[in-house]
Amino acid sequence: MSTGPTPGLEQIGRLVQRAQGGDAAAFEELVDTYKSKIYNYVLRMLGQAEMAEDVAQETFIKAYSSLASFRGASSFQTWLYRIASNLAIDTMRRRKHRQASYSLDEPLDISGGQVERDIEDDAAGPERQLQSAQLQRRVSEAILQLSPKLRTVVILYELQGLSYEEIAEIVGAPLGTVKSRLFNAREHLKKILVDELDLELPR
Amino acid sequence: MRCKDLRRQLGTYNYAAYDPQELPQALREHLAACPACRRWVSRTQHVSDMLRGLPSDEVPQDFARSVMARLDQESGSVWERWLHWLVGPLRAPAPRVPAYQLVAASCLLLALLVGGALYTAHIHPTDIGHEVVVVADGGDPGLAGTLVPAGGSRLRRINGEGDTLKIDDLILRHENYELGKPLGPDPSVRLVSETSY
Repeated sequence: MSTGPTPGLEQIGRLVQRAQGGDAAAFEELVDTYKSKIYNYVLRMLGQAEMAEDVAQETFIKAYSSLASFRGASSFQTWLYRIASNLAIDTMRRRKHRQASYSLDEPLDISGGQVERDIEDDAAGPERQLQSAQLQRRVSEAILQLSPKLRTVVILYELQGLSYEEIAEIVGAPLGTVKSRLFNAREHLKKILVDELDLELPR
Repeated sequence: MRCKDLRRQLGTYNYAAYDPQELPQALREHLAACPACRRWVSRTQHVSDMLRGLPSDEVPQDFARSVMARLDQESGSVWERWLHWLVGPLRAPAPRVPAYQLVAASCLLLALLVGGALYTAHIHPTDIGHEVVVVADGGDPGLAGTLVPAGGSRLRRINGEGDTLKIDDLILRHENYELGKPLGPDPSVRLVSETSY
């Protein structure tokens, strides 16, 4: 499918209209356009590649069957994120006991395929640390320890680069609540990274 | 300004665009005088940087194709696949024509095709949204009871020649296969023409 530049809003609108009329090729183009954002969002929410692929696919399937109800009041992207959020949170709830019994011996499926956890010290400077797979694993683990609500907001804001307004629409909460969740998420992450993962933060 | 106020404001700050010089004066003054808050900001910014530094993963190969395959697979029964072949995909209803109405209209078409010798029918799947003029050839007007309004609760009576029905206002009583049954061998209603509206 298309590997070219991301279609503009107008083009997305036309694709959505064609898909609403039953044009499967147009819908496939929409899937191609948003698959990376949705897959990575769900992957960060769930932490397991196989499950993330399944939920991301389910997101598009649900979107397809609900296309008639999409009126364009929100952007198509926001609408997709909303579906993905609901499905990811449902999946988390169903697998809550597994999240709770999360173990340092269990493989984590984020960034570069399955890797074994390793909590050796990394004495490199911040810039090198940022690039190190080990640090990335630690941060990914910390995100997974947040509650679903905090996790949703911090991933959408920091990793997916969405605005507060877009996030408010996705999670169905007022702006103030979104900001408060981001504040709490950052504070929790600091605590997790320092207290539980023994990461060195600036003094 | 209290430490708590500064942290509330900078706790939701977009650190991708952080420039201490552009902070409001009250914040700058507090930061200049408060080492604890400087440390707090530095740590918060560091966490934000680390989050933004996380790379994206590659989407599994053939992701889009798998989605389309699942959609195809989940499009259901032989009956639905037959309709798909006949009128196109049913799972992506156009806003004005929900899928069940498309199915119903397709069933009507099927029934009319099957009983073609008994009807003068001009309905095609593309006629959804068209108005059809119904002519009753005498006989039992209750015959129209085979068609019910979209709400489903009240039978629609056909009162005589010139009476009109909108195809997309109708569903079949049992959605799928019941249309032909009550009509019997000598139907007194036929559809003779259609007009756009």
